[in-house]
Amino acid sequence: MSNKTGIHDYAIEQMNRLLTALAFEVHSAAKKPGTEEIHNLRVSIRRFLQGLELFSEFFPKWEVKKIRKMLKRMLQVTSSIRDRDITLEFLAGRESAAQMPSTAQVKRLQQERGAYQRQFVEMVRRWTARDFSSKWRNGLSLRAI
Amino acid sequence: MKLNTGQSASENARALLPKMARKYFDAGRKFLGGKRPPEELHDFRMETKRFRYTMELFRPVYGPNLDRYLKALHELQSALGKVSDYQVIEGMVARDRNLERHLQRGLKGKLKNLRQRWRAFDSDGELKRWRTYLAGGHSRPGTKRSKAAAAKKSATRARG
Repeated sequence: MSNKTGIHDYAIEQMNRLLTALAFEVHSAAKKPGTEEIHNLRVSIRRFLQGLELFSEFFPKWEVKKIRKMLKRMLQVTSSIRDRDITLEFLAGRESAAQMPSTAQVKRLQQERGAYQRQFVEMVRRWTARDFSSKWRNGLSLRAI
Repeated sequence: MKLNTGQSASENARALLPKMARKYFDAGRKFLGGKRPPEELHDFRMETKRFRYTMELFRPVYGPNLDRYLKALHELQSALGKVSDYQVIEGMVARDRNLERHLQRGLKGKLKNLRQRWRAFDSDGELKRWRTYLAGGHSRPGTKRSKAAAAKKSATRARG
């Protein structure tokens, strides 16, 4: 890419790249919804959202709105998972016997995490069934280049 | 963030990012320069992400030299993330006095670390360096040693 690339072509290229990365992370996290995979997915969602915001004038408003809404929902569910991962890691790291977390507390957090994980996997299943990345690519006209 | 559709990606980046840098430093000074409560740091953490990811979008324009700036932002973001983690844990666990003390101590330590990092990030001339570089001039963020010296100087000033 040259320094003279027009901003519109540049935006299309960047968003194509970000969407490919996002689709990869969605599938990775659905396959193995571990702490790191969920974190990576959240980062790629935020990167994509930032691209949508910065380059919004090049894309149909209603399409951007629809995609943003879906991504925000995904951020919400994964935030619930991440909050529990952070807390469970903290509790596991408390060393002395006096500081040991109660088993009931850990169990509750693990159960909650499991419930949110199921919500997440179901959400990805719906997205994948609708082939979200192809739909978004078409909706945003990212194939123009 | 309004782009100029008649201009190249490079021209847009060089117009937009120095302005964002100014806003970002102003926000940091507001949230971390004074004694604002840690609950208000959330907005600044989000601001840090927005700035970092916008810069990343223009990485092909600036090339690998931009990575030094991105790294500085990433380090600050990590320190902000650690403060946020403690806030999340506080809201998530059943309280007992022992745990409460432990969390308060942890949060205090992470806040102290964050403020130190901010002082190094915003040390003498850094904003100017950022703006010059992002506007297309040649500049680079201070070295670790110069930043540490600046942070020490700034801490001494704050104490005295």
